[in-house]
Amino acid sequence: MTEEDKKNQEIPQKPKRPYAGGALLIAITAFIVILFTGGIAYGVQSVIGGGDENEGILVGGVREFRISASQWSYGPGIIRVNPGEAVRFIVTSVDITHGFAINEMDVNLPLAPSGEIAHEVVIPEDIPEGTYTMYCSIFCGIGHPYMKGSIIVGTPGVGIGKILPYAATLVMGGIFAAFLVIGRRKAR
Amino acid sequence: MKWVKSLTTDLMEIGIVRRLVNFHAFQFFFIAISLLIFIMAAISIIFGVKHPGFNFGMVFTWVVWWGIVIALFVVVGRGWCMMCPFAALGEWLQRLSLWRKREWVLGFNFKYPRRLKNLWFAIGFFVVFIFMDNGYGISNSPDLTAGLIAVLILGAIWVAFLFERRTFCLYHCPLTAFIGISSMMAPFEIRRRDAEVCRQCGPKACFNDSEHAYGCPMNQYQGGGMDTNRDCILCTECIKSCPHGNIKMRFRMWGHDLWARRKGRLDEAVGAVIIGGLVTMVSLFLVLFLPPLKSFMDTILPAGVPPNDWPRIVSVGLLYLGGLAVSLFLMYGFSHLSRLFSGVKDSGTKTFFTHFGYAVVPLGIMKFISDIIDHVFRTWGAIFDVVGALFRDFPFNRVIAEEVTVKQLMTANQTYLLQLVLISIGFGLSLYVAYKLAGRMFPDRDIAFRAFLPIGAFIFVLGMAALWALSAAL
Amino acid sequence: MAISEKRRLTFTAIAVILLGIITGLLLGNAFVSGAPPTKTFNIVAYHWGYALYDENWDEIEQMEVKRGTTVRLVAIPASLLSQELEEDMYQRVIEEGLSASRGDGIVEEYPPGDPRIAGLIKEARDKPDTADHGVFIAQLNVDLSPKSNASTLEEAIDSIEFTADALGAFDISCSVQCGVGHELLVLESAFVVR
Repeated sequence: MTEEDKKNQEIPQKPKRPYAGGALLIAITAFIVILFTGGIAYGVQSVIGGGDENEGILVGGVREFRISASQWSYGPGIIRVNPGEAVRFIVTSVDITHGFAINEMDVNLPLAPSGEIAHEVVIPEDIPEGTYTMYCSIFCGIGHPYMKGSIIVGTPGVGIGKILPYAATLVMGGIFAAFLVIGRRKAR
Repeated sequence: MKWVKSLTTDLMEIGIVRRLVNFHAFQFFFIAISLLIFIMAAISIIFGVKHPGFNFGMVFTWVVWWGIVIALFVVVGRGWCMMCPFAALGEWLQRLSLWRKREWVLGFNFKYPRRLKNLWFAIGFFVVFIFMDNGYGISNSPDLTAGLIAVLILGAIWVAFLFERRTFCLYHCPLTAFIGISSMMAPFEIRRRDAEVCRQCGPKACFNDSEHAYGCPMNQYQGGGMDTNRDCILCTECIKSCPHGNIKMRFRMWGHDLWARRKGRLDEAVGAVIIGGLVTMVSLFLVLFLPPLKSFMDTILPAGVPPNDWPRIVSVGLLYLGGLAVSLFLMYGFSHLSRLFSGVKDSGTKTFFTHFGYAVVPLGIMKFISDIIDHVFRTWGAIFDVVGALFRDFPFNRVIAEEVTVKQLMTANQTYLLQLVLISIGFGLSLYVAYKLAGRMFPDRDIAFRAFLPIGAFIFVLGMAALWALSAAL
Repeated sequence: MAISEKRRLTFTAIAVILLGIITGLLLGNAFVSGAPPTKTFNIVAYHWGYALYDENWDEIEQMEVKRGTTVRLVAIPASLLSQELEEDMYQRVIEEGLSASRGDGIVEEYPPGDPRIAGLIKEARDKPDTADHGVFIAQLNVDLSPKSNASTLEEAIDSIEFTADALGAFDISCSVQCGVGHELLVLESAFVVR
């Protein structure tokens, strides 16, 4: 390739002075990535983990919860019940049609705006302790997949749900690292 | 078995495939099925139970159809476009034919202005449409859904009478930016076989109308080497019209078209980042900031009555546009880093943005699939109840399903695990696309690797946004 | 079959005009229909049950509305009914029979065609129903109390207007202690929202 050809190419084949050594660039990239990841993880954990567990009010032997559903969360988002208890959910929607469903307790209430639905259910005596999910069962927009709340039965330990995102972060970090390693090797 | 190899070389070698595809009514068969279901859904939406969770039409549109459209991305590409009843209505009226070739078409047949031949209108329309859906709940209201369907049908027919061929599908359909860009990751393609045969071909029947077949309704020119799936609706008209049988169909690697363009296009790159950002950054913003922002808006805006409750609409709108803006801004920033790392002086950041934007698509699509899968799994039983209710009052669907079965296919944790697997696959594929794109831009591997680093980082950040947003309330 | 360009354009113009008319009709319909009209129902509570009437005072079996409709329920005491409607009510009782509690928890069934019904009706004619009954639908916050002894029509009737948002079939029951048979004054699935 003549000097003319080299100059005429749109993109230079090799920069005259590389910006920095390859290892340094990888370090910078890793730092940025860790920064963002930390911020995201911290933000999400503080928003959802920070909520207090709501124990409801005992009304005549029935544990009553008043839950309002809106786009795209439940308030309260974390509630606690005990096995064998009679529980009453009084659920309402403040904006559009939502659903309120708990799979393991056979609950599925359609929520119309400005209408309260009361539903009583008895938590089975033998239900395993753990964190169950109350979720929206009617498509309500872009935030529908995130419209979930937790029902803690008894006193379980840290649920596997809490660990999964950290594990996934590590897995994806590993995939990225693999690309970096293979890429670096091929680049040399 | 010989036909297995044909899957990746040329499906047209398989006898039954060739015979079916060469039927002029091949596409009509698929359209007829979707038209039938569409009519059932439309009647149900207009006359039936006015509830998004119980109405057959609503459930089948916003859960089943939406899921099928996205699922087809990762199988064949613009599969829905092939059977779309709206486009078909416009096309049948325009051609005055269901599948047979006629001598003349109805309509003014104007060529679409060259300056408008891009995705900007379509991208804008898509963004506005998604906002309207979330602000006013189109997918939550049978009346609004009916209105949307009416507007789409009218639009398709009007454009068919004014402009040539499927101009509506190319530039006006609210889905076209989404479905077109996403189809570039599909593992399927219809392309010409031998370039020399095309060069020698006189009639160029793949593009021009010929005696017994129409030219490509999407104005694609197979003879010149169609490079991506972006505008291919899999109608197989080109296969039927080619006088030399010089067109093949085959399966190939996922993501292939994303690095196939010689030069990236800004509208496609922006569209790709918007599609990706919609289900990553926007989701994260909604999870993190919507409740506090809404509380704040409650204090300064009039309350209003749903769906015109201003605090909610303004909050959702701000976070939605904010999330998209941040995605574009971050991509621009990381593109700048890519330019810096690679040491290139004479190409601007915009060049890098335009080139690498496509890499976001696989992650975005896998996240879309994760979201839809969650919704399908949550209300799995309801689909059967709703169909049962339809048949108890067919076709008007005025009977409420007595009980909407709670039959979640998986628990929340299991669903999340599945979503993580899908997101990881999308993540890996996006990294691979970024890698290939870097290789296309820089023949020198060292520079290519340096350019790849920040883009990989951006994709990683989007992936984190996706997986952490979904982890909320587990 | 080839045709001239002129003819083709003529057909196109006709098609476009037709399409324009259809579009105009559809859009006009969308804008004009606007707010759905209010649906009014009249409910009469009498000694043995509820009689439902639409706004034209034709008797109906069930009140049925589409979700999102604005509904107006008007509750009227039986004493204000016209002679003709009163006769209709008695006729219905003869055809359908009734159950009535005769005090101290005993419920008596009077199946259709039971000869004792005639006696009950004669009793009711001689001693018109002066007890107040209520119209109560728990889930919809409807609680109407028409007054039998009011001097004017306005004081006698009680009405409510609301938007039918919740889907389902709702029962009407009596919210006013009206003596014997109070618990039986229930009409199941009287109000249905689709």
